[in-house]
Amino acid sequence: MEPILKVQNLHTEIKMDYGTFEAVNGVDFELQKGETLGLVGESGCGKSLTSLSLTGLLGPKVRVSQGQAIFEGRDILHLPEAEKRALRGGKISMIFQEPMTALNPLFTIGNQMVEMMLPHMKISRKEALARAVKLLTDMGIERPERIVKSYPFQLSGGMLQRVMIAMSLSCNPRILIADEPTTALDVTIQAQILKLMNELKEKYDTSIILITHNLGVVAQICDRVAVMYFGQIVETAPVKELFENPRHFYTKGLLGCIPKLDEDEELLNTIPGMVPAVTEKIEGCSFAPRCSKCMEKCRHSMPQLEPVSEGHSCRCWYVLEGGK
Amino acid sequence: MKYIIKRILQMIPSVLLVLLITFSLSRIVPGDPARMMAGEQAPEEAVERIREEMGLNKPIPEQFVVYVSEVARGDLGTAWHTGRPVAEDFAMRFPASFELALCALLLAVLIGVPVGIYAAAKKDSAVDHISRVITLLGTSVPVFWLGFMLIYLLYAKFEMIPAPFGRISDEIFPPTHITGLYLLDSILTGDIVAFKSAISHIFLPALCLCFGSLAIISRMTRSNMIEVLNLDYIRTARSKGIKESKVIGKHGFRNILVPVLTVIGAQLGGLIGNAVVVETIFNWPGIGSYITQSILQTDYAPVQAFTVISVLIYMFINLILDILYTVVDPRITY
Repeated sequence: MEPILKVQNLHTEIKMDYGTFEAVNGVDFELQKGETLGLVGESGCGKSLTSLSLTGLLGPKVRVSQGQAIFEGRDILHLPEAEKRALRGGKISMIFQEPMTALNPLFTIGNQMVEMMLPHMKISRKEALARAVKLLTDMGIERPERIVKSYPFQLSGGMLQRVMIAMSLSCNPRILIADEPTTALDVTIQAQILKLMNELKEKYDTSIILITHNLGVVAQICDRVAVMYFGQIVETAPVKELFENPRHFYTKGLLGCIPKLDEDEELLNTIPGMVPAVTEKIEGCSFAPRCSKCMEKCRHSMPQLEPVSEGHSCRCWYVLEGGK
Repeated sequence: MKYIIKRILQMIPSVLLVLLITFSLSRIVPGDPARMMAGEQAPEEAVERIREEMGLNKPIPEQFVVYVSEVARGDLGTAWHTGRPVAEDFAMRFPASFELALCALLLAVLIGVPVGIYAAAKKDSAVDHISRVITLLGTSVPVFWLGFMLIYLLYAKFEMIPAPFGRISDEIFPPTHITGLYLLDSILTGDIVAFKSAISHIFLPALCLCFGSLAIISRMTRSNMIEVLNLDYIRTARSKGIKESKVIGKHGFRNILVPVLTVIGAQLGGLIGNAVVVETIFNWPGIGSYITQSILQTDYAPVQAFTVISVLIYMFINLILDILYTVVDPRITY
């Protein structure tokens, strides 16, 4: 089946006073129709920048330097601004991390929801407001008529994130990019929001790219996972396969960091070392300095993301050369 | 409503304090008004008689009580250098000052705010740099120097404007009195000749008066806008696929309104002070030039009255701003 979004060799660079640095360094992935793809990694690994690159929301000093992203037969990275804008919010919409700050404090929920529908749908202001109420009802929100008249500061974080989800689905997007949608919420609310997103994915026939650093969230709702490290995808596999049979040592490290209740551990597991700063230039495999199975080859030659089994790819010399 | 009444009541002690300060200041400054009134050569008895008439021989606290009760009744004293009640002089000259201040404020806001927004949206562009240089000049150039330079260049050298004297050229009749504002009156009566003359007269002083405020307003607009444009909800707005002009004009602008209104309010205070200088330079028949005259002649009453009225205006503006904040920002309630 043809993927709905095909990202190839995406490079995004940040221009600073003392040079230009690649924060996203050759990302490839495919998003299938109806799929939820988890993009996992530590802070600063380039997962948010990847999503912002796709929607053309990069800041003034950040730009896509290479690569393409094919969506509906067009490369969305290199469209004219007006066409990017037409896609944004329309066929590709986003949800952000902090619902409390992601909505404008001075306009009502209804106003902000209607505003999104008007440029993408042939719909009057009144119809849009009616649709906003209906969407909020779908989110399981009681008395949506009152919510549309409220200001963001009058609602709770969980409620606001529901509003954000309703808003992001308002134009029937093909792809929903959710950037840490539950990170700022209580655990109980988190579960509700994730469940809601899963249900709505079916109902609105949308594919989701879920960006998170939380493997628990990934296990709950993703179909497939791509693990990012230092601007690259180091491993990608269906979610079950990844959890049962991780190959890359970074993925193994991440999974090892999850504390287990049935084991009596004195200390929490960590991955030794730190993520290199984006300004550092690393020759060879970017994980080599922290890797326990680092070989001579890893220090000067960069491995490629190669398939290791059905639907499972890994970027590691050790694995590719047959090591376990 | 309850809040507004409370605020007005709160003004009373402030006004009393201001009255005390102005009263004390004018008693502290050197110069004997009775002597000035009587003249250099007048005999001591004559000076003494005037002193008695003006109540200057009474104890200072009593003078203050008398002064406060007079102000409360709207009696601002008599300006002896014109021989008329100060209130009357003020009423006569107020429209000229009001028109000048209004024009200056409109110029400052209508130019300053859009320039600030544009400079923020196109940060580090040529427009941003040019506006930075001009605003730096605006905040550092003294208003009297700017006034003289503008007169020198535009009137003396290139003769682009009429003589900097008054509100309208001598040979032209002022428009029929409706509001007292020449520009508005001439529009209302369709008097194009008067309008042209009035605008050519008000242009330079208004420009001169607005320059400093314009600089600060545009700077503050810019810095607030830059801050707001980095916030999450702006990114959300952009992710909706709405036009950038709407992102800035709606989401950005509404959020900078409160700080920008505050700056505008604060600038009004500076405007009143600068008006005294500008009106004197351009011989503008308003309250400012009248005050300069009064100061030069050690005429207490108008200076005191001017200070008190300035404070009242300032308080009133702040009250209006506080009410406007609640309109702009639903989170602000009193």
